[in-house]
Amino acid sequence: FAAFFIIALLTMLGSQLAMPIIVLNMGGEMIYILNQRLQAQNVPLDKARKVLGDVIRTMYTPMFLEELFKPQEIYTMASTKQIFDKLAHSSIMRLNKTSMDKLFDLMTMGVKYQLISCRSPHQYLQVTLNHLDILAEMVKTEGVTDLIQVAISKAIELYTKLSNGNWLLLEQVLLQFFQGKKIKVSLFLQRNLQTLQGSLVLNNKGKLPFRTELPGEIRYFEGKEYIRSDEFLSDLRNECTVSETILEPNWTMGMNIYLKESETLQTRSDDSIIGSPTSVKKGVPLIDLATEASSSIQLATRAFARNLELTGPHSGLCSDAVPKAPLSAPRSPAKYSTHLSAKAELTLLSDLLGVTTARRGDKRSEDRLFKINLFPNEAFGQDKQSSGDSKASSVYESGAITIDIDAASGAKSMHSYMEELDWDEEEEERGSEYAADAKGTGGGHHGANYGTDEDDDLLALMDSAK
Amino acid sequence: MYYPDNNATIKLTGSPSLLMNNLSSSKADSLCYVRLDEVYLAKLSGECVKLPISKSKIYQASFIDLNGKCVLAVLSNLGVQVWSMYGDSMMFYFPLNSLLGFEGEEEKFVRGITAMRDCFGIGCSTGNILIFGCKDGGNFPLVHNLESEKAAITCLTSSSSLLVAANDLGKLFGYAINDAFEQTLSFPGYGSPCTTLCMRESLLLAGYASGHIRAFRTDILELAFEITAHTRAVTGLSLNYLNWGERGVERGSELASCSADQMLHVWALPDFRTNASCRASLLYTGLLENKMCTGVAFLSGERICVASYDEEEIMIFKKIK
Repeated sequence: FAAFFIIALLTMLGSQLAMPIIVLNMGGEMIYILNQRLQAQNVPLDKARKVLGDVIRTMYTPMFLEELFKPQEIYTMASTKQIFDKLAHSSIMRLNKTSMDKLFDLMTMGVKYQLISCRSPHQYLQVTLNHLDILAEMVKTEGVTDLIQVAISKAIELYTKLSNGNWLLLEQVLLQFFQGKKIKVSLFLQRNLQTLQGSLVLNNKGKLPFRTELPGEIRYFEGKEYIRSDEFLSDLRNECTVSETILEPNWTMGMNIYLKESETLQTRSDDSIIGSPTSVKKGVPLIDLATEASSSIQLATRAFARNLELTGPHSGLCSDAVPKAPLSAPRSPAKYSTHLSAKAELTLLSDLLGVTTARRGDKRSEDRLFKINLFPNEAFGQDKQSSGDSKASSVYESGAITIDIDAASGAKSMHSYMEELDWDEEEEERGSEYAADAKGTGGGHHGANYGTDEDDDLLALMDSAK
Repeated sequence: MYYPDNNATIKLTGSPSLLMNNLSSSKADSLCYVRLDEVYLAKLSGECVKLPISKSKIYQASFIDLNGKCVLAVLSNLGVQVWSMYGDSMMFYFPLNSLLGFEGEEEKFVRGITAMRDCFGIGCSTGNILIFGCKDGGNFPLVHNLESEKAAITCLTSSSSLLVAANDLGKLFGYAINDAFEQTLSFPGYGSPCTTLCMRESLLLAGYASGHIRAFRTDILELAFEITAHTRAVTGLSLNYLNWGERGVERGSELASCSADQMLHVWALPDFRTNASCRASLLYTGLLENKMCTGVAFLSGERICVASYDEEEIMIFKKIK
């Protein structure tokens, strides 16, 4: 069966291998965002891990992965959203429609940015592995880590065998999937990753794609012999460096951009982190390091080297390993002062959602406070005692955790919410920054006529996996 | 030498997809490009029309001149369609499965097209090159099925006497344009797919996924020069015409190249007639900030237009007089 699979793979088009890239990367982004929200709402660590573990466990069930990694036509944006809608609700967590829409938009733009930032399509594998590595570290639950490892193995097995031509086809179909999505994300705007028009900022500096040379030279040949060179002015020549490996060791695309800086500093010195200074010596190939947490990137690099017949002592390996960007280890609530933590988290979330402090009484202002639903069992505007609901209790006792990523509120109390909120959906959309660019949300034109019959396959698996 | 003419930017109703060679111009300065599973025709005036084609995976749309008449060819996983220049009627359709069948797991498609004297050729994902004759009355019989290596053809180009095809392995194959279409030359790959081709007499220009542009002399079967031109895959090459009114007669000496690295380059090409005229040089570099260029084409009036992925405008660059 393995031989048949390999033969079939070699004849398969790269364009039919897009779904794992989409699902695994968008799934990773979803977990990052949910993790950040769970921390922001001070959900206890064990509950948060349960939520994330349940979602990951559903996303990486063997049956689902089996179906995902089969060559198939790419799903439409709408069908893909349905997959994640089911995934997000596979645990005790609940998301309202607006929150789910916002979550999906963040996931979409996050992955789009990561993919267009890749220097070559081969790095899509690295982005995927970065996501998987961090998820495995984030939720160290029995069974979950094993499932993620299976996904890592499958991804490496599948993508390291693709020909360069198929990588180009894969790149084309993936970028078509995200074409038209220009939703403005505050985090991107603040970090200058996105322009005010919604276009993502491209960066051509730094490492070049593997086998790409520094621009600026014209070489002449005669009788198959090199005879001379001319140089021409290229601004990028001094801004770029040649890559010796297909995968870039320090490539951070796919890592958690929703981490706070304090978390970043904390985890950098952790010896258990792959490639940390204490575990890597300069000049020593990583392949020689006997570490239990061997980098999936190393494995992929070796696999690429084998399949592409690279040569050289450091072929496929990095000789100057530096620590990867920190992993998002779950934070213990005890490390933060409660009142400072809550304010800081609200600030981060407001930055995330792009909402500034509301001006009191200005209902028309698009600058509104976001709403965090800390009491999901209480109906809005309804007093607990007056409702006579004896079963109403803390969210944790009821087992349901509501994640609210709704930015449409300007009130400070639930009673005020009900009075001030206008539940007219049209107004909600008008006030939302995410709907500012109407064209940017219209990305669902692709592939309408092919793959639709297959769209239900993964969705059916999602239902059966619950 | 060139400058961006921001006043002449063409606004589009649909943004181009990231494909190779995803912009083509006609004699009448019409433009065509592919967006997802659609083909758009755009005029310099800004008028944009969608071609009424059936849904398919489109790999390329290109204007070609057949017997002095400009037509629009659409290449997809279904086969090749030939439309009138304005996209109002389909003149010819060749279903790919009629030739290659339904066998095999892999999906087949056509990509790469070039027009010759009285025929045109298209490339297949199987490595085949199909040659269709051009008869009066819109009849295009399949006259040749050329085989190369078992690697997908990426692009085609031709001169008055030679048809050249490139594939995913970066290899180039040349066929004499005569009754037999026998293969007369080949150039090795360089480890990256050849993504775009154009040709001026015996000078063959090839762009690669590694960002290189290589120039081969087909008269002496040698690599003449290579340029480390771009930092991403070259997505388009275009040669200017000496006389725009008589396109297809004689190509000029300027080569425009574009890439996903946000760059447009214009190069001066040598003619190799004397020792002094054996060097290429960079004439102009244009930065299209935050735009992944996906196609480039010369227009009349010494202008160059560039299409970019996910951008609803085509940039125009004009030559400084």
